[in-house]
Amino acid sequence: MMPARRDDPELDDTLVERAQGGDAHALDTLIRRHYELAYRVALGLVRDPDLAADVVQDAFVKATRGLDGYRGESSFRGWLATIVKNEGRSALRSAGRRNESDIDAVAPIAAPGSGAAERTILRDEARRVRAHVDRLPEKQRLAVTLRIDQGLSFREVGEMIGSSEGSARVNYHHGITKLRTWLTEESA
Amino acid sequence: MNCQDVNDLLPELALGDLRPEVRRDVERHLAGCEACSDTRATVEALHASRPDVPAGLEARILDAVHAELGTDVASGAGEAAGGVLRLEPRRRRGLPSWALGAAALLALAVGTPLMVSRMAEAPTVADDETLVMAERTLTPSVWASDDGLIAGEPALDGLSDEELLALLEELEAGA
Ligand SMILES: [Zn+2]
Repeated sequence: MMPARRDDPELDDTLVERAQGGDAHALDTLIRRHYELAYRVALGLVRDPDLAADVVQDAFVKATRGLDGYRGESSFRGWLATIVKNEGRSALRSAGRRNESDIDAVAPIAAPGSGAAERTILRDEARRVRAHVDRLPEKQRLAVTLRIDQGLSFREVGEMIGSSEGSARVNYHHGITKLRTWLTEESA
Repeated sequence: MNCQDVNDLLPELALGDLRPEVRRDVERHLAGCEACSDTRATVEALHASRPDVPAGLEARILDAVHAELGTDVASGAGEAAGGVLRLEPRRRRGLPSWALGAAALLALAVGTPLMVSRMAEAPTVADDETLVMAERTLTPSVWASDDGLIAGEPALDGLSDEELLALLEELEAGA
């Protein structure tokens, strides 16, 4: 599913060591390897593509600054995810965005027109399900999006959300079940 | 296979990542299980609406990090690109994902040193947007290439075989 090298903590740690020693190319490799994942973590958190891009950029700058502080206690991506999440929370606070617990309502979503082509209906369904993703509690939202959008295993999702593999699986299934229910209610 | 097993595999089913024999078992279960079929529809809808990573984000992050490190990105461009012409981005708007696929696949197909000239000479293959993408693709390769990063590598770096196949499909769909 994922390339083995993205999944290989030893290789990441080797690159980190080289980067800590001043090897800018090693740092570039780490960034190229992980920026997409970092972006999806940020997006799962802040739910705004532009803000997520800002967050992930700032997070990488902070990670670069603090790279000497990484001692390999966790995986590099776990460490990076923590920075992204901190940066994301701080960005949400500065932007004065509502906390996730306040977001229960999303904009009313139109039902697909009866004469719409099947493709349009599928697109509409896809759009609607994304609107509902924003309503999920944070861990469920991250578990669902990292599992499906980034193709992470439950173990990897756990690493990103700071939980066990089992907890990641539970969060994912709760999230999917809610989405399924909301979509069904809408169509009823 | 029970419902739990099938539910765990639905993302891989949507991604087309299941081995044929596993896929067959999953499909067999889905044919007789309404609950799992509903869940599958939800997972497929999620998969179909997967948000794109913004074009240029990688370059933007690298830029910011190098600014932090005090590395002058532009000054090393000529040497780092090995004398290959460095094109400046002409446009800043988002590009269709297939254009990225086209650039990546062309880089793969024609060999990276030839990429720029091939792109420039073959407008029938690479239209304007693909060219812009090629420029974007090249831009990150001019950073810190102490060991001679080749042009085009960043676009392919980190791509799995499945992702390359997906890019090929996008290219075909876009052509
Ligand atoms: Zn079932």
